[in-house]
Amino acid sequence: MIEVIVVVAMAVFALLAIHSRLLRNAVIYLAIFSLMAAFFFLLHAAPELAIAEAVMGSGLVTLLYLTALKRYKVFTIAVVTDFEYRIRDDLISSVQRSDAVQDIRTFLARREREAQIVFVRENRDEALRNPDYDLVLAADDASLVVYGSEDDYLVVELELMFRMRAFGSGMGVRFEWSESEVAQ
Amino acid sequence: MRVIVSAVFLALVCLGVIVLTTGHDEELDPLLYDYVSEHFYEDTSARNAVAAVLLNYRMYDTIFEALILLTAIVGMMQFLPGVEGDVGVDGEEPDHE
Amino acid sequence: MSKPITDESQIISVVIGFLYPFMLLLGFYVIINGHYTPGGGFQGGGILASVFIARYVVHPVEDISDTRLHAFERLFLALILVAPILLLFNGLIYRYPFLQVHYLTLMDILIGLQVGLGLAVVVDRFAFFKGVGPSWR
Repeated sequence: MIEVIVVVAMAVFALLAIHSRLLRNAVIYLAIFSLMAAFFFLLHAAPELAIAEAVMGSGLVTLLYLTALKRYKVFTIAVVTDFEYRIRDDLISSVQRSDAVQDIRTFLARREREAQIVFVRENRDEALRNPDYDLVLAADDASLVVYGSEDDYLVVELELMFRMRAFGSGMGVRFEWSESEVAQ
Repeated sequence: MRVIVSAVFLALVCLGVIVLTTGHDEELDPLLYDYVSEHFYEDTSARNAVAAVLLNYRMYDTIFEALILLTAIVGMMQFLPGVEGDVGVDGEEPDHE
Repeated sequence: MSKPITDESQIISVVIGFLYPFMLLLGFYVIINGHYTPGGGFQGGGILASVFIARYVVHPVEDISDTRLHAFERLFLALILVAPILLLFNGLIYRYPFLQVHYLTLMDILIGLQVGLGLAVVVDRFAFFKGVGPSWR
């Protein structure tokens, strides 16, 4: 009975590892998968193989993938809210679920960058001056205003994509170029 | 569609593994298995039959496993450049200032 | 402009720094008791190599020379070749049976160090890969 549970859980985690959108989650699912495989070897009275699988698949390969992901480029998007003193949960969820942010995320994922969205308490000018942020989003209740530097070719491509899309459907995304403060 | 197809395929594989592994008595070749499991302690004085097989009965296998690992690493060091001055498999010292 | 996510994470470095001696102890335990409990050279070598990777995750500074690790690894491979030839293949450990346990322990230690150093070289090379360089063909 416990074998059946372990095999089914292995299949479930293998599917999750294949179909998860974030690579970091996929690595963790893979680690759980090989831990299950180690337990399966242990059930079949092969403790040597179980130790080897746990060390290699679950420890070494996971750490190796995580070090590889550490070199994966992260694109930090700062969301500033001028008029809100406190950052509320519904604001966060509405920004995360909005179409424009999803589009930016898929755009960056296609160019092997991972979008990291942070909600900051600084106002707009301070956020623009911070060199850690690649893109600054000002969340209004009606639309999003995107500030980026013209030196970053990704931001230029992103602006081009939104401008071409705006011919078809009027989306509430407006681009503004920040001054050269952002580009150091 | 792709998700469904792969889910069905994996479910079939799981079913096959479950059917094959549960309620099945393994019939190994009795000669070598019996010999190793009875005589490994007086032959090699190891308490662990796997260690006895790996380090005494099948020592050539272990030697060539180690050789395979070394070959993989030599190939990797040949084709992945390191930092400057740290290149080459001849064991020459890198010159750090 | 973009910076890595785990830039000097305090939690991870403190926890892994606390775990170093235990990982080393577990690795050497698995290696040395290889003829007595499940485990052995390969598994213990993997644990020793994971110590190297954990060190990279905490403190990504390249201060260990790959080529020197590789030289030690080749030395251990030569010893792996020499020790069975001297002890096992000419029947020395059957003539003197008290050598048998020492032979097994010696081989486990040699294989463990060889595998650990080899995997550490692999990880170092991949972690500090700087792109296409002069030795690329």
